[in-house]
Amino acid sequence: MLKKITLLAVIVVAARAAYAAPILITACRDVTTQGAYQLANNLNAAGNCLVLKASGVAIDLNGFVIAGNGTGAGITDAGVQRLNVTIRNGAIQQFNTAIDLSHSQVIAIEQVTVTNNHNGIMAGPYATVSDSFIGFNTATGTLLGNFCAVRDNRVNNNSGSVGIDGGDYCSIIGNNASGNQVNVAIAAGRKVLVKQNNASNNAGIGIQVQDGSTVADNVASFDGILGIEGNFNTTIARNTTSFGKKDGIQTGGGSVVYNNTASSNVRIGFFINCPTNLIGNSAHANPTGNFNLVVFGGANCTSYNNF
Amino acid sequence: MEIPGLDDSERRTTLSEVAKNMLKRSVIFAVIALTTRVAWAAPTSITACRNITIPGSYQLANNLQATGNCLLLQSSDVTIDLNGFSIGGNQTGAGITDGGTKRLRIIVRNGTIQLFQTAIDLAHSQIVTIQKTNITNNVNGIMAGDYSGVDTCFVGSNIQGIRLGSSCTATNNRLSKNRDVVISTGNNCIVAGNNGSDNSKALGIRGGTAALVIGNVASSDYAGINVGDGSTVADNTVSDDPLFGIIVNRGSTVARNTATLNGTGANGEGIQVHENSLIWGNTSSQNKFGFTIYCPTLVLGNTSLFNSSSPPFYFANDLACESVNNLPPP
Repeated sequence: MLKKITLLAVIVVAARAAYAAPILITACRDVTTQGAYQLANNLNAAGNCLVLKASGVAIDLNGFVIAGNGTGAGITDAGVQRLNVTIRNGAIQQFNTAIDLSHSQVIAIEQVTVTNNHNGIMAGPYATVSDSFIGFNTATGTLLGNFCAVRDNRVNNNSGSVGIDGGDYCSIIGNNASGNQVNVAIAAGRKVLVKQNNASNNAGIGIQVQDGSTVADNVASFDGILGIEGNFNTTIARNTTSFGKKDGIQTGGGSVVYNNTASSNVRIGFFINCPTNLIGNSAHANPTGNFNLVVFGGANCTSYNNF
Repeated sequence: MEIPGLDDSERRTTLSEVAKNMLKRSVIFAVIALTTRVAWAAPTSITACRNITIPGSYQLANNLQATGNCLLLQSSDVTIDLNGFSIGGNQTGAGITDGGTKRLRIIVRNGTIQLFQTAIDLAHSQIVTIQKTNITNNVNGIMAGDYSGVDTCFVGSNIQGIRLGSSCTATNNRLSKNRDVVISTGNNCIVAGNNGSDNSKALGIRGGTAALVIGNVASSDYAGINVGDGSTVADNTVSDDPLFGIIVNRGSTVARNTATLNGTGANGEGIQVHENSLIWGNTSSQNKFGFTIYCPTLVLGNTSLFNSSSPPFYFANDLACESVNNLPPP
């Protein structure tokens, strides 16, 4: 009898251990050990909610909401570098910063709804943000460090400075960053890839990148200031930037600009610093200039089959 | 077992008590362990059609059958995991609905909704996300407001497939045998990677202004792709649509699409593009007409062959177009 009882207890304990269940979170708290965590209910915070004091943490919001009172952060590293943090599957709203991991690295954020905060998502280098909605934040939507990946998000109706802001060497692909009241909907550093995004109908600039970047297959129409702005040595290809309230496409010297459409903008279609190679672009009905070429350094642009 | 100071009878009684105590403790321990296990299933279980009145995470525990509406959302911030189960109706009401009141941040995923007037009626709500859900045999499939996304769903045999508001995304869905509309969106949307084929009486993909329509198949529908000003339509395959293949409005880029065997039932064309646009690298063959182009537009490196009516490139107004490296030369 005793043996059977002991065996039963052992089986139950073993089954419990084998399930390897995430640790349940039922209230705001510090997360002090690495592991998998899962929300068991909605959380409400006055100030910070989940403070990460360990690396190697995966938090499944489990479809629940972390809500604040306009201060603190929903999830934060509190200014200390953590590594390998994953956050997924839930909503964070009404904080000063929804996710503040700006001192941390190797962050993965997926399927998260981040709304009505001052800042949405802030993370350091090597961060990935995917399949999330980031909107109605009043200062910044997403601010990431170098080597980031931003894929398939909806970033809408943010106000303030920027919708998506990536550092150098980032890839920003497949996002809908339209309808923001920001200075720049998609901003990124040097040597980035910005592809297949919709950055239309924003109050300021649709897409802005720095030197050595590629901007391809995007739509940045109906923007308030400028559709696409590239710096030196940039490839700008196959984009549509029409019906803007100022210019369609601007780029620095040393670039190639091909197969883009920039029509019906209020001022200029293409504002190009030479030397740049312009091939097969379409610009019509821009009242003060379809192609405005600015020569510097004594070098001209090369232009083929533009209209 | 030797227990000093006890006779055999007392020793047997004590051992019996020890065993009982251990049994009690084990049972309590097991109950605690099992209770803890149950507590991991944190989302609220849904076992019948009901109103959802508080924010949170919900999960179906079984199939649901409705007469009229099933899940009526009376709160924002709701996640519903259908958990692989089905919600079935009687051709009325909605499987999941906002009841005509704006709700925010609604997520529905991972199941089937069928046989309703509208499978998911969140037309008054915003920031709606629908993922990995099968929507079949309804009058209306998915209706959601601005800032919504539908990803990796099957939407079939409805009258209308997917209708979304502005700043939306519709990605990686399969839509077949819908009757009137396959995908219809507001302005500023991304429609990418969908297969919207075999909707023989339906308009395929319809977008508003500033649409990015890329990498879709819209074949064997009544019409293919039709979007508004300032859009990009690229890398799509559009065939066997009797009304037309692709129609794109002004100031747009139309690139690298393949349009074949379209317009045969209505004097339509493979590709029609309006003023101030760029058309390059497309193939439009075996249609009633190849290209209809409103000038001024730049027409670059396109192929228009074997269409049943000429010319291969029809310029629809008297303004000048620029045409370079097209086959055959216009």
